[in-house]
Amino acid sequence: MRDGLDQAFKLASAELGMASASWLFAQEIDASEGEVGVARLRDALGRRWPVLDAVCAGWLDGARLPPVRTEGVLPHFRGLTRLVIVGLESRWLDRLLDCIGPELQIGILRHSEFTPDWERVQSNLGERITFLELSSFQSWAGSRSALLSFVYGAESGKSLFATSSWVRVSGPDTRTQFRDLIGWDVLGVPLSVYPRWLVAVPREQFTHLEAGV
Amino acid sequence: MPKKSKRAIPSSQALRFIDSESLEEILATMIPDEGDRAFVKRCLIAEGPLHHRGANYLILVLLGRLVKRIPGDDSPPKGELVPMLLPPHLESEVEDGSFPIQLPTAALSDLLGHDEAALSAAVDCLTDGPPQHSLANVVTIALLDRLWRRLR
Repeated sequence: MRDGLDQAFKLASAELGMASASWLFAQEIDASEGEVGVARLRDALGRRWPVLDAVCAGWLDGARLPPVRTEGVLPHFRGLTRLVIVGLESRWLDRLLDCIGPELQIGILRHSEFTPDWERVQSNLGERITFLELSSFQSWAGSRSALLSFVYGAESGKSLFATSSWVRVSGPDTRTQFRDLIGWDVLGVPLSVYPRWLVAVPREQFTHLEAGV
Repeated sequence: MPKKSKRAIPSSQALRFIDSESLEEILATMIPDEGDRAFVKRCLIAEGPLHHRGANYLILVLLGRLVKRIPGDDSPPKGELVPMLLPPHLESEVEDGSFPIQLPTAALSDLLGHDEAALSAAVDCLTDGPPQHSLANVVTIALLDRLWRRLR
């Protein structure tokens, strides 16, 4: 049972993103089993999936699916022609796509340790997205281009966590090829177990750090 | 006798003299767009080795103060594009691969006797390398170019 749940969550995380999948699982399990089920989910998978652990803990503390906040990030897109997004978080991506006009091209880095089915991801996000490879995403660099990474745990005021993909693309060479490096915090509840799958990065890596919830 | 440097300044204190606003004031006359300006400023004083960040700040702010003492045309510099340092296999694919500031060439051209080949070589020297070098070169030349035109 636990292995099956773990596989299901891994698949959902791969194609929806860890925060999106965590809220979905907490919501669905609460709907069918109540908070007892959410507590069981946390105990079963929390140590392996820290974002799920944080969301379940938040849920048990009264937090519910937060609305996506875009008012922080959208002003930073003014004057840009290309936005390269690092990481997948479907709730936030869907909202972003609703808010951004066709004048801004949107690319997503096709890189994830979860090896999602990218065709399925593309079909969820629509034709507007261009997938970019790690070896060539800098073809979208420029003084009218920005990188945006989903980040987790910015509310703690100390550590900030990003995906390993962000670590791969945010080297000193790339940093000066893009006008802005934007961190968009999608968690909104504190992480309490060691954040495996994520990497601690300095807040100063980002030119702008904005709340997504 | 000058004191011998011991490189004893802790990293956390190495840039304590930087006042971002002083550089902002100089760049505002060269790069009108706020986002573009923030990008160039970041490359000058917030990326690369600490000593470059500090040296860039000191040279540019001192030079900026000097230029300010002689009133004149403060319009953004026009001249050669300043290419980003991109992976060679992608250079031809990047549509917008230049920094949002140009290298003025009037003073350089005068210095080099209006020799086009020499000017091309000079532009290449000044705009090559990582941006903490190339952009610092460009802003320095832009300030010197203003000074040269005002004192002519």
